[in-house]
Amino acid sequence: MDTLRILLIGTLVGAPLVAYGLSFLEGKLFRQVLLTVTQLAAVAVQLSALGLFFTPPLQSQTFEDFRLVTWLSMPGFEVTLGAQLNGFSLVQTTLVSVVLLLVLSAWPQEVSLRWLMLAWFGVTLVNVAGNLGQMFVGWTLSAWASSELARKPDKPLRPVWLMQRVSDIAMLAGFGIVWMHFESSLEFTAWTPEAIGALRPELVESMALFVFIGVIGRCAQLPLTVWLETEQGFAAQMGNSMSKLSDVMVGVWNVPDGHEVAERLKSDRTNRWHESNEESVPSTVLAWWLCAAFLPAGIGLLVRLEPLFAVAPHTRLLMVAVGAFTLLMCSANAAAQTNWPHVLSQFAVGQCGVVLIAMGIGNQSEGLSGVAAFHWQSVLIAVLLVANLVIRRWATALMAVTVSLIVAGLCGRHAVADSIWEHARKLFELPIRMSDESNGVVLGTTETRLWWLVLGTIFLAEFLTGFSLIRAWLLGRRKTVSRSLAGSDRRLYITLWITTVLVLGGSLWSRGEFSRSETEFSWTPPQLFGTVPLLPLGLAGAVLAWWMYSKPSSLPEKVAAAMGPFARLSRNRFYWDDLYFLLVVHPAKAIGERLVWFEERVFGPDAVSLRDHLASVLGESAEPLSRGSAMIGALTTVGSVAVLAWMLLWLRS
Amino acid sequence: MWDTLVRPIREHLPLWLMLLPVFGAVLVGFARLAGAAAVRQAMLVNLLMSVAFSVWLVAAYEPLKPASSQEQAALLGPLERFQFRDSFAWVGETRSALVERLNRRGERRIIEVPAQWGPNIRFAIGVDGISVWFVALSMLLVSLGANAECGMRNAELSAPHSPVAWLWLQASLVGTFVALDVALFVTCWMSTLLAMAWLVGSGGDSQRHDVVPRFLKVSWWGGWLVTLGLGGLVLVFGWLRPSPSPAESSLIFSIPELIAGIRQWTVAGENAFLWGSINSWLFWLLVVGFTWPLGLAPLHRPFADAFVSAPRGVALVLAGVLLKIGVYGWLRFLVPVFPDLLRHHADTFTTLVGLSSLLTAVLAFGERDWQRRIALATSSSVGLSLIGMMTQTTEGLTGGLLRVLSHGLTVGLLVWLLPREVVGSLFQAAAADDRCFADEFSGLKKTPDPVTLRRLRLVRFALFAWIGLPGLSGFVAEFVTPFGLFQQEFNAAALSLMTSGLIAWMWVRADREPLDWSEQLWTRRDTFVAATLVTLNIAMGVAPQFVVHRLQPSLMSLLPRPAEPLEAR
Repeated sequence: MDTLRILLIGTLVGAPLVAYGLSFLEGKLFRQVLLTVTQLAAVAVQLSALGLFFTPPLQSQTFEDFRLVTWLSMPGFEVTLGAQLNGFSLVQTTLVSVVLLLVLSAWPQEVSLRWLMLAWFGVTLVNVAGNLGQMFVGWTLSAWASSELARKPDKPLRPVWLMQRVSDIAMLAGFGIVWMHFESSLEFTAWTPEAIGALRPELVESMALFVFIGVIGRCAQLPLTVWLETEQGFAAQMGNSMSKLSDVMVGVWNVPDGHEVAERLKSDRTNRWHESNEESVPSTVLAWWLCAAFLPAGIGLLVRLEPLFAVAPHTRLLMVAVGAFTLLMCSANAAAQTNWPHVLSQFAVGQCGVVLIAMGIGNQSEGLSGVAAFHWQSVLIAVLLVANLVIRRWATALMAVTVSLIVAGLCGRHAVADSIWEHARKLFELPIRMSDESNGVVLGTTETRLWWLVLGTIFLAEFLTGFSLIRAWLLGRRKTVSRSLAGSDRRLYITLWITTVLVLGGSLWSRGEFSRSETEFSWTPPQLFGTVPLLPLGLAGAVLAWWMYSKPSSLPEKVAAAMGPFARLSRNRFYWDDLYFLLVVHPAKAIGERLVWFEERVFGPDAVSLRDHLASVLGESAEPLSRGSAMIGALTTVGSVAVLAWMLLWLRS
Repeated sequence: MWDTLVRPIREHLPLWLMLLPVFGAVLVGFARLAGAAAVRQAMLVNLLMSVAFSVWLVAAYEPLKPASSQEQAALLGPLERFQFRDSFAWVGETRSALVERLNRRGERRIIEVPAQWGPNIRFAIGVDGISVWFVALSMLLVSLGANAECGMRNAELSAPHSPVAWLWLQASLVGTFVALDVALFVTCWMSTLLAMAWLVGSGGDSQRHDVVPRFLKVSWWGGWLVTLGLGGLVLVFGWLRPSPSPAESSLIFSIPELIAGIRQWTVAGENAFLWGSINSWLFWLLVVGFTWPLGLAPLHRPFADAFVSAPRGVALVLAGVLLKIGVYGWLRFLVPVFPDLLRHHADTFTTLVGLSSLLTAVLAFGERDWQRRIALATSSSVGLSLIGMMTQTTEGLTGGLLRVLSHGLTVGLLVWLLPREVVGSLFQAAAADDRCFADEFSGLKKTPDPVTLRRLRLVRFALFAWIGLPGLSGFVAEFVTPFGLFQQEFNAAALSLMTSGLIAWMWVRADREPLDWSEQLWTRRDTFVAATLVTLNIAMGVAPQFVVHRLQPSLMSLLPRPAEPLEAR
């Protein structure tokens, strides 16, 4: 049994690496053969994970730890590559391989598999990391590969690099501080509550903050939603502009032609319309990977480092704020979309915000429920995106999947809403006790008012989600697909159905699973207030979308027009590009150019001539001295000798 | 066979590496009679043998070899750090002479009489875990550079003396890194500067007459200060150490014995007070001497100008290895001899060098010219390496040295690949209408030809490695160094991370600019060089332990031993 389990773990970690190695044979092997082998690798990972679920663990601790290779070893500093497995990491790894299987089923001909395989390997390293070193290696590896996936080979590097480097550098700074204060250990096993509790609070906060910045960058949350480059806005006209991850994942923002808002925006020079920029938009297939496997890696890191965040209340409050703002922005953005993949990618980034809120609440079980729901949703998003491409005409299938998505998401979101309600209702418990005041995470009673805002945001987001998903699907039906279903598509159709059912079942199972240990998914009884409004709100949004579609009415345009200012703001990224350009890019460029100019003046030919001139002036001034009396020469000589003698004596003494 | 042929070479590999250029010079001299093609062949044979020997040296070096004798172990530690040692009398000598004398009873006796003349400067060479990598890097880059400048089939040699200058440079570089004698080290270093000045002066662009004197002046001043400092160190140690036996010279020039002796007899011994009052003079002389030629801001200009002016092959060696001799000097002398002073000033030094690195990174950011960008980014990278070493931590030292090696490989690839003339005006035109360089391949072509695409991919690979992406050489240094910095000084860590970020940003911006290779062919030599450097970059990124394993014992020996904590001194 032990051998079998070790073999399964080896397969789990090794299969992505083998697949990456095989991807170098692209062009030499038949593409179909390569795709099949890669899919088999993904299936092998799933079977290994399944086997690991059902075989007794070798080690009785919370984590099973296997070190395979020492990557770097110095006294007091060691990074090993291996696997540290628990229920969460197994679920994560399995879901990533499911996503990969779906992605590979419709992988475009023109995109190389190499980066995808490297990204898979990187994400696997992160998911099974047992130490910060491996996590950082996997983190940067997957970021690099995934950002390369989103770039056409003949296009230059994009600022995605910078955002990733911001994320990496912040992460590295956080890890550095952690390493220093955990007895020079990078192992997660050193993260005992006693070790963390012994640290000063501000130190814990700074560690958590740095790591959190890294997660923001990875999960495309505000303000690091600025990922990839577009050609918009004032900053773009100066050659410096960026756009959100979701835009690049799926293409450009899209409002029907002839739309009032669209026309207004088109005529606005500071917000150049760029449907003509379709050429530079990467394939939507890449979005599946980014949405469903790349973003969850950041969420996974939050879970791994949960012991740290648990004692960093200020950072958790920041997490809630960032998550809520991102959720609001992405939900509004999604509602203004008419394109199905656009909606889903905005939705994916928004749901990362929900997870941040969940983790920020500070209640671990609700946080993990949110994370679990997010992971299952990620797979469903991949299903939906594949379905959109292949079986767009099969309305019943899409409708079922959409409902599944909403229901599966509800399982996580209601837990988050319940937990927020627990905090928010304290506002009505008068008089507020001193103990409650002091027990507040950061802001005491002010915080309870903030929780109301967050709760409102979640409700609004739920309404907008239902609206945008159904509207986009209905509008998508207008675009008929000319080809009929081929045999392979039918197989895919069946696969999608099976995956949908399995994922839905898995989502419900994970929600219903009772707590077994601190890092397992848990169940909490639902609170009426937090749960009840969510489903009606989502359904109301769906009904509104259907009504707008079935009744020829100007209401959709009016609604869209009403959202114009917000759309404008969000489209222009809250003028983030412009601010970023004005505050960072332009000053850096200007300083650099001024310094170069200054350098030319100070150290360049002018300086040399000035120096020569000064030297000659000095020389001419000193000429009388050199021509002068023997007395000066003698004094100089005697003085020099005296100084030398004094130095020698001093050295001797 | 092994004992007759292989062992004599294996046990004296550093000596062979120094002798090879001499043989090469003779060979080239004869080859000149047969024409340019024969000169090329002779150079190629010499370079290939040098690279092969340096690889052999790396493979043969045993980092955990136990000390060969009790005395060695007592003085230099339990491990034989310096291996493949050779020593010959050079200037002056100390030895025992056997003299036949008659005693009172009239019997003939052979008596050992100490005989000494001159200062006992020896031609002593050997390598440790640090210098072995510098030697390997030097051999690799000199081979590439010389190949680029002397191996052009269709062009005439860039200068009539070029092969000899290259061989001179090769011997001097190896000598600098394998020298175990203070005088030999200084001589080889200065000689390296002269050879480099010759190469830039004979093959550089129209600015070379202005650039070379300035470069030489700065480097030369640094060299003289180091000479003064090291000379002072030898003198002071001669005064302070216990009275030597009559058979022993009062002045010790041997680097291992000097360093170990200072630790043993002055730093921790009864002369600690005397040493404490003198050492700061020597410390500052060496600090300025080794740091001045590093090209750190605001003294980066001479290096940057020389780099831009130099021919491709020369620039490659200049940025890849020659600039880093100062870093090597820090490791060889300042870190082990002055640990307490270094610790005392570490915060100031790391902050200043961090600011300097950031300044050069900002300057690189504002540059429009690829060559100047590389030069400034190199200065910045050297600063970051130095910061790591100033921390006197295992992580900082390892990270700093790994960065030196990684940068050498990366800058080698980048300089090799870039077009010889990067047209600035093309960029201006492209920037004006925000076209990306992908549309500017080979002039106005929309679709790049396969060779251009290959070049672009390789340039991008070099940028990836420089930025420090996982699996590539730069990543290990980027990852390890901050852990050393965080132990020492948060300011330096922050400055270092900011500089890394800015350099990454600068390369991302640079990647948008047009590169025109329209007049350059892709040859088999390009393929070979690119393949070698790419492979080494990946190998170092994937398996850094191979390098670190050889480095560690030598680096650890630089750090204060646990038995002699700094506070106790």
